[in-house]
Amino acid sequence: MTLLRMTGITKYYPGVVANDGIDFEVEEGEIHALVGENGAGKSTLMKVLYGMEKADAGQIYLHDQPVNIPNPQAAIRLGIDMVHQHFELVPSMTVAENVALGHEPRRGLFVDRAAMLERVRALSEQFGLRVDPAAVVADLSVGEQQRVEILKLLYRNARLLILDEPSAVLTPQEVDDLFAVLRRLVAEGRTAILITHKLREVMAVCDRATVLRHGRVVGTVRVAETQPETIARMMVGRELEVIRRTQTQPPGEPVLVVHNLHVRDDRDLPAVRGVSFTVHAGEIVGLAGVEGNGQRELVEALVGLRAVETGEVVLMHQPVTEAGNRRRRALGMAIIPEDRTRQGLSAPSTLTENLVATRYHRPPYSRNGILALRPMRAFAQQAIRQFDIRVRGPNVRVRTLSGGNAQKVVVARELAEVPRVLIAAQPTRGLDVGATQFVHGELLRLRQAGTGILLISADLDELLALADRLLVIFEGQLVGEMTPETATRERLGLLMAGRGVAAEVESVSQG
Amino acid sequence: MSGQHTPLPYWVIAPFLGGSGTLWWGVLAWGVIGAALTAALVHSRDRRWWGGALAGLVTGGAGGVLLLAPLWFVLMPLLDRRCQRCGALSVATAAACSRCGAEFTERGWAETLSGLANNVARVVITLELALIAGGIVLELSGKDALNTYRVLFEWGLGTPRARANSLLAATPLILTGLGTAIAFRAGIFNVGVEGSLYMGALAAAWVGFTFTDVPGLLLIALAFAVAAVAGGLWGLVPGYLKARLRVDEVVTTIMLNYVAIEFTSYMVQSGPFFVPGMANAMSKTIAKQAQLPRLIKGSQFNATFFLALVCVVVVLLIMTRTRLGYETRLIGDNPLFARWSGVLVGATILQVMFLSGALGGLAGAGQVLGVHYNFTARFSRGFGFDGLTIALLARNSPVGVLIGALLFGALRSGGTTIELFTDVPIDLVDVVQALIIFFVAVDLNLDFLSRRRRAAQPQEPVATPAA
Amino acid sequence: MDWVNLAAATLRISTPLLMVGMAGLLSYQVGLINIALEGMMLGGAFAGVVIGYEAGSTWLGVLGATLIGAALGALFALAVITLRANLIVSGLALNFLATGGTAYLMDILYDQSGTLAPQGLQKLPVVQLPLIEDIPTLGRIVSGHSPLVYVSWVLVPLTAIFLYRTVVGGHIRAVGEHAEAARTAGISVRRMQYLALILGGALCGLAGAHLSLGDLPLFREKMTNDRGFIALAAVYFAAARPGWTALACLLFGFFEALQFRLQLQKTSVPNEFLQMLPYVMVVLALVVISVRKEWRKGW
Repeated sequence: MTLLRMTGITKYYPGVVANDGIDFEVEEGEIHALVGENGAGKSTLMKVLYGMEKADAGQIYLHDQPVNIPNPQAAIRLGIDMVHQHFELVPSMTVAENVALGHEPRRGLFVDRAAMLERVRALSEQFGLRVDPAAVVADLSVGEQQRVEILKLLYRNARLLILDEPSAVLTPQEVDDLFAVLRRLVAEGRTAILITHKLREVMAVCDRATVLRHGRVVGTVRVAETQPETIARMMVGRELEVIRRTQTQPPGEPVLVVHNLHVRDDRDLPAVRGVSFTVHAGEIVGLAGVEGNGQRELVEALVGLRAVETGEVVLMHQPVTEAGNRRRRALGMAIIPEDRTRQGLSAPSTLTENLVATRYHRPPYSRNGILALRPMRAFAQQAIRQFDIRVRGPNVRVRTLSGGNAQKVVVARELAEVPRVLIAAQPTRGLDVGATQFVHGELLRLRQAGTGILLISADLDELLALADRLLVIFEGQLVGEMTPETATRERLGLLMAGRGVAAEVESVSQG
Repeated sequence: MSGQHTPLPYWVIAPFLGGSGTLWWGVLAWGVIGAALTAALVHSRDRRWWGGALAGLVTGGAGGVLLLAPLWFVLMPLLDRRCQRCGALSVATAAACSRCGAEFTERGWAETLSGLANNVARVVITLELALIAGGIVLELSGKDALNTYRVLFEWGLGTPRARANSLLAATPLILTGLGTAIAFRAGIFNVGVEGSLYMGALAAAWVGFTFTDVPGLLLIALAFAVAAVAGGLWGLVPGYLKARLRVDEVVTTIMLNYVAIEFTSYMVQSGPFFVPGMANAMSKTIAKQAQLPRLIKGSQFNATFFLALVCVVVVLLIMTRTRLGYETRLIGDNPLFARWSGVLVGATILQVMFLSGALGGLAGAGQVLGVHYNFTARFSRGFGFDGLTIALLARNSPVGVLIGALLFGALRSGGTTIELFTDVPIDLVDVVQALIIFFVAVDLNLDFLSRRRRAAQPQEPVATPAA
Repeated sequence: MDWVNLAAATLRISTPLLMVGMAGLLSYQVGLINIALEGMMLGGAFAGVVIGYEAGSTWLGVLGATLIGAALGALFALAVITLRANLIVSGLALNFLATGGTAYLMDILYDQSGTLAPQGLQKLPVVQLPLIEDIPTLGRIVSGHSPLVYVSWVLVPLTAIFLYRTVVGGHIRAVGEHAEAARTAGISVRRMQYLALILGGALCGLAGAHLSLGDLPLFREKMTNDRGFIALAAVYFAAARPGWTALACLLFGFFEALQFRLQLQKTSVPNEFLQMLPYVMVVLALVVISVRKEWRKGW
């Protein structure tokens, strides 16, 4: 019996269509996977369902009745609830207090603690979610915290539970526990939607899977009747005519060597686990992977903004593992950061100020602490011409620029002088076709000029077109290495989704 | 009142009051200003400037800025741009639609002008609202608001002596305002300039009464220099804590203010600088040659004012033309970007806090060398906090600080004599100051009417005002 | 050194600190730094004297002080929560408003400046605790205080119970620690913030009443003497735990009482250093907290 039906859901964000006429259906009592790469639209669709976003078009039906969900409270009242990637727990409170937050059993003005503990304990036993209701959340492991989140949903009588990338923060053992919990939930009559990009989960515990790509539904399959390769292919698409880069050239000296790198994330969990690779001059090394598998932490470690736990980074034959960002840039590193507006630009500042940010302290732009404004302006004007930045003049504030134009500013700043090493993280994300082609052109130009480029991207077309070598990262480890000639989208998709790990890991672990 | 020449600024503020010849100049001035502002604002939307100009001329003439204020409230939301593709509203200065990303066609000089008009309008309106609110308070207390303000302006700006006193009052404010402003510009909420002021004052006094054999000019220069260093070092304490240990600077600077006040009081009340036999807690008087001469008869106005002017220029140059200034502005605009571009943020924070404290130290030295000729415990009448108000009002621009300090100085100086000529207590100035700060605080988010309209569209959930 | 006298004075002097400390605690727990405690206390002190005098009853003055404090808290909340004004700046503004406003009103209403000591205004009655007053030393210390002293003692456990045992208190804490979690749980973040600030304001007003009506019934300009900041210091120092905050307030009260007495005798430790102590301790506390955080991240 159909529990949920979403028809024709369309949602716009500035410059991009996140959901384009999506029809989505969930049966009662099933575990339904919502699969896709980043930017496919899965998070957006669920945000619409949970009331965090309002769709621009489309309708939602529960038990065939049309419903309106303007905010999360409304969703919760309808029995729809969500466990986010970033937990919403109050660290200093106990498990029971967190679970019952907002709906505490009362005795007058006071919280009826005994009743609260009892109810939570009963729930945890009913669904096999082992947590001590009296424990303080701050002391719990991540896996246990997730159980608290799920308990919260159950306490609020959720019939339809949405879990957003639940295994992103779990150990393999904890993931198996989670699967057991999910099966228990279903046995007790609940329904679950699992947002994921990991095939292992889809195959292990889901009944059906709906695959999204570029904001549209590719298809819905019954997991038991489907091969994982099929799903992977649906995620990444068929082989297309790809614009290949002109010719292979023999790689030059190693300009960036990474050896056995281990980096922790903000939650103190291991994000990069023993990554080793080399980038040579004149070569583009593509790093494929769904976002959230350690790329961010890797980039931050490579550019000198995140401490390394163990391992080494060698840049232009100089050890830089302890060095800061300025030193690495001095050795010839350039960076196109992932978060264009926050890391790559300063919105309130002028174009010129943005362009000189990496070079203002060197002659000719400053001498003895005094800025040389004329060379700066000249540089800005030159950059505007060279990179065709559409602005009135060098003194406009960058916040007034459109996405593509803004990215040109980043590119202009980083690539005005040919760098030795370029770290480009998702450089064409959110850009239109024209701007994307421009960036690709620049990357190829640099490659020709001898720059060693590490291109991190979730866009397989881009990687297949530009990279000389392809690496795949999954859960902080390099799980595959291949050339574009031998790579197929299917193979890449499988590796990105965590399948085929075993065999590939062997060939890559030597770096 | 009697025989006093009522200065032009008064009429400029309230041109429809009173009946003197200068009234019409005020009306004309505001008519022109009003016309220009309104024209620019309307043009940026509709590309038809003459209608806006006419409207501005009328409103400007009718009541000057008093009517312009509500007009601004009404106008700003109307200037939101509507996207042609998706119909969403965006802020007037946006280049692309906030919802669907469609770029707006270019605008040209009107956009710059409307931005400028926006900034001017905000400062003027903030001040004006505070004065109006103060006037309402006066009226509710049964006082004659207009008369009070007239006296305030006359005694602030009417005679040469009054003007000298206003400049004198403005002097420490310029320096503390500059000191606070550069820290603010770097995104550092430094409330501790008051503490640096005290440390600098103490240091200057020490130099003044210790090195009594050194000739005049050299001694004065030495005193100022040592005061700047003392104030700067004091500023380094919270600066280091922030740069190295990420300790929030608001609380530390407030606390360290009190530490400085207590420490310097100790030095003269029971410590090494204690002078037995003194009734008040004062240090020794500084050497004769270190005492800055009174430049205008009947007032304590001294050369520190010119030092302050020099500092305005120096700070302006630093901010616009030096590496440090660039780094300061960049960190203030987007600290994350600064890090990603290789800027040494920690080092910059230290330099900025030193400079900030140094300016505070100079302010303190100015009081010692030019007004009191010694160090007296707890002598500051809140110069640091006045500086904070001014920095906020001027949005951290050095020239703005100068203007704000002059206005504030006039306000404070005129305020002291208000008690003599009206029955209004001087504390009114404190009330007005509080109102200014309040309106600045609200103004920092004041396009909320415009926001309301845009918020009526579905948007991202808004965060709570956390600490 | 009359230790008994010192102990009694400590209790008396700590009273406003305790109350304001609890107010600061509430703001902290709801996630807003409240710089305006000082101003709300001063406003309450003034209102206490004025209303007590006009109404002819000191207790009505106390009530008035509390209400005015709550009103100031509401004003602060309006600025910061609804109008989205900057938290620190608004707090400073409120403080200035209170200092200037009270002095101004004192002059306008009563033509006085500096001190306002209306004729006929009685201070609050001294309370002698029935059995305790007969105990030799303890009796002299504990009994014989203004009633607000005892109220402040009760307020500490009351605040703790409110925060940690009642439903609303739990909501306040949730809002302060993780506003998003509270919001999804259906809690109105704004309402909790308003509540915390208004309650806090009321407590500050009450503290002000103690200052102006508890001993000599008068209002003096700036009579709060930065106690608001010292209480804030205590809250930071105690990481917003009620019991430790109260202890810190008592400690600071002790130092203030001690410092008065030491001024009369010549001792080696200068008063000013004692007065400095609370502020230095806050800075140290903040440093320690940050160092620990950095340590865990591995520098």
